[in-house]
Amino acid sequence: MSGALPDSLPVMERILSRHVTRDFQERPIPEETLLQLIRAACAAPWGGGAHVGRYVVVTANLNLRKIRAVSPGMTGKPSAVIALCLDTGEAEELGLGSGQKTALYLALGAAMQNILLAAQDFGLGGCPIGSFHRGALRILLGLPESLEPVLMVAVGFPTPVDRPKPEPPEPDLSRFTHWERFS
Amino acid sequence: MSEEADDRKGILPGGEAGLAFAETLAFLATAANGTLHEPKLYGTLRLMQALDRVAGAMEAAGLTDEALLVKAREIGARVTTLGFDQAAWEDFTNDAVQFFVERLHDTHPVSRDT
Ligand SMILES: Cc1cc2nc3c(=O)[nH]c(=O)nc-3n(C[C@H](O)[C@H](O)[C@H](O)COP(=O)(O)O)c2cc1C
Repeated sequence: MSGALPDSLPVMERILSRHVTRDFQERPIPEETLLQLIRAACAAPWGGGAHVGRYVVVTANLNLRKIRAVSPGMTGKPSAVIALCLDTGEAEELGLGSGQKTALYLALGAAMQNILLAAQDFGLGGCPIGSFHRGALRILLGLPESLEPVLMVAVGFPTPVDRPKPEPPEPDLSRFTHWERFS
Repeated sequence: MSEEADDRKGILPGGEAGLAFAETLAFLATAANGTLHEPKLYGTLRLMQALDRVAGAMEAAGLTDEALLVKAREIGARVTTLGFDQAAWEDFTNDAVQFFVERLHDTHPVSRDT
Protein backbone atom coordinates (compact mmCIF):
# COMPACT_ATOMS: atom_id res chain seq x y z
CA MET A 1 0.00 0.00 0.00
CA SER A 2 1.27 3.48 -0.66
CA GLY A 3 -0.10 7.00 -0.94
CA ALA A 4 -3.08 8.17 1.10
CA LEU A 5 -4.23 5.83 3.83
CA PRO A 6 -7.82 4.74 4.25
CA ASP A 7 -9.39 6.00 7.50
CA SER A 8 -8.71 4.27 10.79
CA LEU A 9 -5.44 2.50 10.27
CA PRO A 10 -3.97 3.77 13.55
CA VAL A 11 -1.04 1.38 13.62
CA MET A 12 -0.02 2.25 10.07
CA GLU A 13 -0.32 5.91 10.93
CA ARG A 14 1.92 5.50 13.96
CA ILE A 15 4.47 3.55 11.96
CA LEU A 16 4.54 6.02 9.07
CA SER A 17 4.69 9.14 11.22
CA ARG A 18 7.45 7.92 13.54
CA HIS A 19 10.77 9.61 13.08
CA VAL A 20 13.77 10.03 15.30
CA THR A 21 13.83 12.89 17.80
CA ARG A 22 17.25 14.25 18.71
CA ASP A 23 16.28 17.57 20.25
CA PHE A 24 14.59 17.23 23.63
CA GLN A 25 12.97 19.54 26.17
CA GLU A 26 14.46 19.63 29.66
CA ARG A 27 11.44 17.96 31.18
CA PRO A 28 11.30 14.79 33.26
CA ILE A 29 9.32 11.77 32.12
CA PRO A 30 7.00 10.27 34.74
CA GLU A 31 8.18 6.89 35.98
CA GLU A 32 4.80 5.37 35.12
CA THR A 33 5.27 6.44 31.49
CA LEU A 34 8.72 4.89 31.35
CA LEU A 35 7.27 1.67 32.71
CA GLN A 36 4.70 1.71 29.92
CA LEU A 37 7.57 1.90 27.42
CA ILE A 38 9.18 -1.14 29.03
CA ARG A 39 5.83 -2.87 28.88
CA ALA A 40 5.77 -2.16 25.14
CA ALA A 41 9.30 -3.57 24.84
CA CYS A 42 8.27 -6.73 26.69
CA ALA A 43 5.40 -7.23 24.22
CA ALA A 44 7.84 -7.71 21.32
CA PRO A 45 8.02 -11.14 19.68
CA TRP A 46 10.85 -13.35 20.96
CA GLY A 47 12.40 -16.29 19.18
CA GLY A 48 12.22 -19.34 21.41
CA GLY A 49 9.38 -17.70 23.31
CA ALA A 50 11.60 -16.60 26.20
CA HIS A 51 12.11 -12.91 26.72
CA VAL A 52 15.75 -12.47 27.57
CA GLY A 53 15.88 -8.72 27.07
CA ARG A 54 16.74 -6.58 30.09
CA TYR A 55 16.14 -2.84 30.17
CA VAL A 56 18.16 -0.44 32.27
CA VAL A 57 16.32 2.85 32.59
CA VAL A 58 18.41 5.90 33.36
CA THR A 59 16.91 9.22 34.44
CA ALA A 60 19.39 10.72 36.92
CA ASN A 61 21.01 13.77 35.39
CA LEU A 62 24.59 12.88 36.28
CA ASN A 63 24.14 9.33 35.02
CA LEU A 64 22.70 10.68 31.76
CA ARG A 65 25.66 13.02 31.38
CA LYS A 66 28.15 10.23 31.89
CA ILE A 67 26.35 8.06 29.37
CA ARG A 68 26.35 10.88 26.80
CA ALA A 69 30.10 11.24 27.31
CA VAL A 70 30.64 7.68 26.07
CA SER A 71 27.91 7.83 23.42
CA PRO A 72 29.00 10.01 20.50
CA GLY A 73 25.79 9.00 18.72
CA MET A 74 23.72 10.72 21.42
CA THR A 75 23.80 14.24 20.06
CA GLY A 76 20.76 15.51 21.96
CA LYS A 77 20.11 15.63 25.70
CA PRO A 78 17.33 13.14 26.44
CA SER A 79 15.41 13.01 29.73
CA ALA A 80 15.79 9.26 29.89
CA VAL A 81 17.84 6.56 28.31
CA ILE A 82 16.80 2.95 28.08
CA ALA A 83 19.69 0.54 27.62
CA LEU A 84 18.52 -2.57 25.81
CA CYS A 85 20.55 -5.54 26.96
CA LEU A 86 20.54 -9.25 26.33
CA ASP A 87 20.74 -11.57 29.29
CA THR A 88 23.16 -13.95 27.61
CA GLY A 89 23.41 -16.03 30.81
CA GLU A 90 19.70 -16.78 30.82
CA ALA A 91 19.70 -17.28 27.05
CA GLU A 92 22.43 -19.91 27.47
CA GLU A 93 20.45 -21.66 30.21
CA LEU A 94 17.40 -21.76 27.96
CA GLY A 95 19.36 -23.22 25.07
CA LEU A 96 19.23 -19.93 23.16
CA GLY A 97 23.00 -19.62 23.12
CA SER A 98 25.41 -18.57 20.43
CA GLY A 99 23.54 -20.29 17.59
CA GLN A 100 20.48 -18.14 18.35
CA LYS A 101 22.31 -14.85 18.80
CA THR A 102 20.95 -13.33 15.60
CA ALA A 103 17.39 -14.14 16.63
CA LEU A 104 17.96 -12.48 19.99
CA TYR A 105 19.35 -9.32 18.42
CA LEU A 106 16.38 -9.20 16.06
CA ALA A 107 13.99 -9.54 18.98
CA LEU A 108 15.72 -6.69 20.76
CA GLY A 109 15.28 -4.66 17.57
CA ALA A 110 11.57 -5.37 17.73
CA ALA A 111 11.57 -4.24 21.37
CA MET A 112 13.32 -1.03 20.28
CA GLN A 113 10.67 -0.34 17.67
CA ASN A 114 7.89 -1.01 20.18
CA ILE A 115 9.43 1.53 22.52
CA LEU A 116 9.72 4.12 19.74
CA LEU A 117 6.14 3.59 18.60
CA ALA A 118 4.68 3.55 22.11
CA ALA A 119 6.60 6.72 22.99
CA GLN A 120 4.44 8.64 20.51
CA ASP A 121 1.32 7.88 22.55
CA PHE A 122 2.83 9.75 25.50
CA GLY A 123 3.93 12.78 23.47
CA LEU A 124 7.50 11.55 23.60
CA GLY A 125 10.10 11.25 20.89
CA GLY A 126 12.96 8.82 20.79
CA CYS A 127 16.14 7.92 18.99
CA PRO A 128 17.95 4.59 18.84
CA ILE A 129 21.59 4.99 19.81
CA GLY A 130 24.06 2.51 18.42
CA SER A 131 27.17 4.69 18.61
CA PHE A 132 28.37 4.16 22.16
CA HIS A 133 31.18 2.25 23.82
CA ARG A 134 29.91 -1.06 25.15
CA GLY A 135 32.67 -1.48 27.72
CA ALA A 136 32.19 2.05 29.03
CA LEU A 137 28.45 1.56 29.38
CA ARG A 138 29.10 -1.66 31.30
CA ILE A 139 31.14 0.31 33.81
CA LEU A 140 28.61 3.14 34.15
CA LEU A 141 25.58 0.86 34.53
CA GLY A 142 27.27 -1.85 36.57
CA LEU A 143 26.33 -4.50 34.04
CA PRO A 144 27.48 -8.01 34.91
CA GLU A 145 29.42 -10.05 32.34
CA SER A 146 26.23 -11.97 31.45
CA LEU A 147 24.38 -8.81 30.37
CA GLU A 148 25.31 -7.57 26.91
CA PRO A 149 24.40 -3.94 26.12
CA VAL A 150 23.19 -3.93 22.52
CA LEU A 151 21.46 -0.64 21.90
CA MET A 152 20.09 2.37 23.71
CA VAL A 153 16.95 4.39 23.13
CA ALA A 154 17.10 8.06 24.08
CA VAL A 155 13.69 9.45 24.98
CA GLY A 156 12.25 12.80 25.87
CA PHE A 157 9.66 15.40 24.97
CA PRO A 158 10.54 16.89 21.57
CA THR A 159 11.35 20.59 21.40
CA PRO A 160 9.37 22.81 19.03
CA VAL A 161 12.41 22.73 16.66
CA ASP A 162 11.87 19.02 16.35
CA ARG A 163 8.31 19.49 15.20
CA PRO A 164 6.20 19.46 13.10
CA LYS A 165 6.87 15.93 12.01
CA PRO A 166 8.19 15.73 8.49
CA GLU A 167 5.95 14.22 5.87
CA PRO A 168 6.33 10.46 6.02
CA PRO A 169 8.69 9.38 3.26
CA GLU A 170 7.10 7.74 0.28
CA PRO A 171 9.40 4.84 -0.55
CA ASP A 172 9.52 3.35 -4.01
CA LEU A 173 8.03 0.04 -2.97
CA SER A 174 9.09 -1.67 -6.17
CA ARG A 175 12.70 -1.13 -5.17
CA PHE A 176 12.25 -3.02 -1.93
CA THR A 177 9.71 -5.64 -2.92
CA HIS A 178 10.13 -8.76 -4.99
CA TRP A 179 7.22 -11.04 -5.80
CA GLU A 180 7.64 -14.79 -5.71
CA ARG A 181 11.35 -14.65 -6.54
CA PHE A 182 14.15 -12.14 -6.49
CA SER A 183 14.46 -10.32 -9.76
CA MET B 1 50.97 9.15 47.78
CA SER B 2 49.99 11.40 50.68
CA GLU B 3 46.94 10.63 52.78
CA GLU B 4 45.25 13.80 51.58
CA ALA B 5 45.75 12.90 47.95
CA ASP B 6 44.50 9.40 48.64
CA ASP B 7 41.24 10.80 50.04
CA ARG B 8 40.57 12.56 46.77
CA LYS B 9 41.46 9.56 44.65
CA GLY B 10 39.39 9.55 41.52
CA ILE B 11 37.68 12.84 42.23
CA LEU B 12 38.54 15.57 39.80
CA PRO B 13 38.61 19.05 41.29
CA GLY B 14 36.71 21.94 39.82
CA GLY B 15 33.00 21.18 40.32
CA GLU B 16 31.06 21.64 37.08
CA ALA B 17 34.19 22.54 35.13
CA GLY B 18 36.00 19.43 36.36
CA LEU B 19 33.01 17.30 35.44
CA ALA B 20 32.68 18.89 32.00
CA PHE B 21 36.37 18.38 31.21
CA ALA B 22 36.24 14.79 32.49
CA GLU B 23 33.22 14.14 30.27
CA THR B 24 35.06 15.68 27.34
CA LEU B 25 38.06 13.41 27.84
CA ALA B 26 35.80 10.34 27.99
CA PHE B 27 34.00 11.58 24.89
CA LEU B 28 37.21 12.11 22.91
CA ALA B 29 38.56 8.67 23.75
CA THR B 30 35.20 7.06 22.94
CA ALA B 31 34.97 8.91 19.63
CA ALA B 32 38.56 7.95 18.71
CA ASN B 33 37.60 4.34 19.29
CA GLY B 34 34.15 4.46 17.70
CA THR B 35 35.09 6.28 14.51
CA LEU B 36 37.37 3.38 13.56
CA HIS B 37 34.23 1.45 12.70
CA GLU B 38 31.85 4.21 11.68
CA PRO B 39 31.21 5.96 8.37
CA LYS B 40 33.99 8.39 7.51
CA LEU B 41 31.72 11.41 7.76
CA TYR B 42 31.10 10.73 11.46
CA GLY B 43 34.69 11.74 12.27
CA THR B 44 34.11 15.37 11.34
CA LEU B 45 30.84 15.38 13.30
CA ARG B 46 32.50 13.99 16.41
CA LEU B 47 35.13 16.71 16.27
CA MET B 48 32.45 19.38 16.21
CA GLN B 49 30.60 17.67 19.06
CA ALA B 50 33.89 17.74 20.97
CA LEU B 51 34.25 21.44 20.19
CA ASP B 52 30.85 22.08 21.75
CA ARG B 53 31.91 20.12 24.82
CA VAL B 54 35.23 21.94 25.19
CA ALA B 55 33.40 25.28 24.95
CA GLY B 56 30.96 24.09 27.64
CA ALA B 57 33.85 23.12 29.90
CA MET B 58 35.59 26.45 29.25
CA GLU B 59 32.36 28.22 30.19
CA ALA B 60 32.16 26.30 33.45
CA ALA B 61 35.77 27.25 34.14
CA GLY B 62 35.06 30.92 33.42
CA LEU B 63 37.37 30.89 30.41
CA THR B 64 35.09 32.07 27.67
CA ASP B 65 32.82 34.83 26.48
CA GLU B 66 29.39 35.16 24.96
CA ALA B 67 30.49 35.20 21.31
CA LEU B 68 32.43 31.97 21.58
CA LEU B 69 29.64 30.26 23.45
CA VAL B 70 27.01 31.33 20.94
CA LYS B 71 29.14 29.95 18.12
CA ALA B 72 29.79 26.68 19.94
CA ARG B 73 26.07 26.25 20.73
CA GLU B 74 25.24 26.92 17.09
CA ILE B 75 27.67 24.19 16.10
CA GLY B 76 26.23 21.80 18.72
CA ALA B 77 22.69 22.42 17.49
CA ARG B 78 23.75 21.94 13.89
CA VAL B 79 25.17 18.50 14.73
CA THR B 80 21.84 17.49 16.30
CA THR B 81 19.78 18.51 13.30
CA LEU B 82 22.23 17.48 10.60
CA GLY B 83 21.12 15.63 7.52
CA PHE B 84 23.89 14.18 5.42
CA ASP B 85 24.46 17.19 3.21
CA GLN B 86 28.21 17.06 2.90
CA ALA B 87 28.61 20.26 0.87
CA ALA B 88 26.59 22.29 3.40
CA TRP B 89 28.59 20.76 6.24
CA GLU B 90 31.83 21.66 4.50
CA ASP B 91 30.71 25.31 4.22
CA PHE B 92 29.61 25.24 7.82
CA THR B 93 32.94 23.90 9.06
CA ASN B 94 34.78 26.44 6.90
CA ASP B 95 32.80 29.24 8.54
CA ALA B 96 33.65 27.78 11.92
CA VAL B 97 37.36 27.73 11.07
CA GLN B 98 37.18 31.37 10.06
CA PHE B 99 35.36 32.31 13.25
CA PHE B 100 37.79 30.56 15.58
CA VAL B 101 40.91 31.66 13.73
CA GLU B 102 39.83 35.29 13.65
CA ARG B 103 39.02 35.04 17.31
CA LEU B 104 42.39 33.48 18.10
CA HIS B 105 44.10 36.14 16.08
CA ASP B 106 42.16 39.04 17.63
CA THR B 107 42.25 37.90 21.23
CA HIS B 108 45.97 37.10 21.19
CA PRO B 109 47.62 39.82 19.09
CA VAL B 110 51.17 39.22 18.01
CA SER B 111 53.92 41.72 18.57
CA ARG B 112 57.66 41.30 18.13
CA ASP B 113 58.15 40.38 21.77
CA THR B 114 55.36 37.77 22.08
C1 LIG C 1 20.47 0.15 15.19
C2 LIG C 1 20.36 1.63 15.06
C3 LIG C 1 21.32 2.46 15.60
C4 LIG C 1 21.19 3.86 15.50
N1 LIG C 1 22.14 4.65 16.10
C5 LIG C 1 21.98 5.98 16.08
C6 LIG C 1 22.91 6.82 16.79
O1 LIG C 1 23.86 6.36 17.42
N2 LIG C 1 22.69 8.16 16.77
C7 LIG C 1 21.63 8.71 16.10
O2 LIG C 1 21.49 9.93 16.14
N3 LIG C 1 20.74 7.95 15.41
C8 LIG C 1 20.89 6.60 15.40
N4 LIG C 1 19.98 5.81 14.76
C9 LIG C 1 18.81 6.44 14.11
C10 LIG C 1 18.96 6.53 12.59
O3 LIG C 1 19.96 7.46 12.26
C11 LIG C 1 17.58 6.96 12.01
O4 LIG C 1 16.63 5.99 12.33
C12 LIG C 1 17.68 7.15 10.52
O5 LIG C 1 18.47 8.26 10.23
C13 LIG C 1 16.30 7.31 9.86
O6 LIG C 1 15.59 8.35 10.44
P1 LIG C 1 14.08 8.11 10.96
O7 LIG C 1 14.12 7.02 11.99
O8 LIG C 1 13.65 9.43 11.50
O9 LIG C 1 13.28 7.68 9.78
C14 LIG C 1 20.08 4.42 14.82
C15 LIG C 1 19.12 3.58 14.26
C16 LIG C 1 19.23 2.22 14.39
C17 LIG C 1 18.16 1.33 13.82
